[in-house]
Amino acid sequence: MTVSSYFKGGSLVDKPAVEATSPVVRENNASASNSISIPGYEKLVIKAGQVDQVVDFYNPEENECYFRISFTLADGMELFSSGMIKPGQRIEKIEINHSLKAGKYEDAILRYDCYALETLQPLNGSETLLNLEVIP
Amino acid sequence: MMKKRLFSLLLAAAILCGTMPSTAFAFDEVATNGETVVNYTVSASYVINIPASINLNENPNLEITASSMNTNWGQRVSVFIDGSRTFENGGNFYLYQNKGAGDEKKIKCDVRKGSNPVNGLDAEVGRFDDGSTENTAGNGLTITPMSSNASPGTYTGIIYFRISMS
Repeated sequence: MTVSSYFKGGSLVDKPAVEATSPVVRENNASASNSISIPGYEKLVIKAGQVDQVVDFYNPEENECYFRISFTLADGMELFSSGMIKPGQRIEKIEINHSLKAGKYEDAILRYDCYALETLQPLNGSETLLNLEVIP
Repeated sequence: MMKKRLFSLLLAAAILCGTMPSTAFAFDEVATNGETVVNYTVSASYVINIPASINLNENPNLEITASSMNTNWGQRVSVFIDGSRTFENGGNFYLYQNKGAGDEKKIKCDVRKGSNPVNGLDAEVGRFDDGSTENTAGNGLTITPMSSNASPGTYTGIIYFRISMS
């Protein structure tokens, strides 16, 4: 199921009341191995001088985990952080924290923190580097 | 007579004015028979599959795959262990039991790529060239717990990856 939502840093589903800590590499007979699909892009294009932006962030349908996506410039300035995103869910409109001047921003970081669907325990995560192009 | 001549002149002027625009339109139709360029850019994209969890009792190997690689010839997607987030001080990788609690226990792990230790390093674990979904980074990662005298129970740790395109 694909759902489009508009929000600023809010939750698409309820956040865990307490951040769980755990899994990923297990030294015991625990859960079976599975994988997490991480989407990546060569570049992302947004508009200069405004905070409302159109993007295409999503959690692939085949995943069995929540995503929490954050988007940060190479200098550490966080532009966006999502709530929990369900498998198959897509974000097409966001409100970034700071409007940007036109130009190219290299090595922006699109970070995926992953959480188990039932327990909300953290799973292996990943960050992808991309070029951010801000157009007038 | 004068009225008739004036009427004829006005009629001639009206006819002339009436024909001029149609002539102009006919000329425009020929001149604007042009073309419109339509642009649409498709950026390169990919989908990399990282292990959600690894049960070291069953399989100590970490494999990275790709399910989609919409990139051009000459482009490379690389997957690295994010050493700064994965390894602790001294470059060690630990599995924890009850992390942060008073009875916390941990196990140090030996992490290797092939026969080479990569503790603390940003080891490359995935390389996908020219739009191919075949991982050509060579040996996968092997994680071995140094747990000869560890207390029984389940220990967990987290590995972080960094993916880039060049």
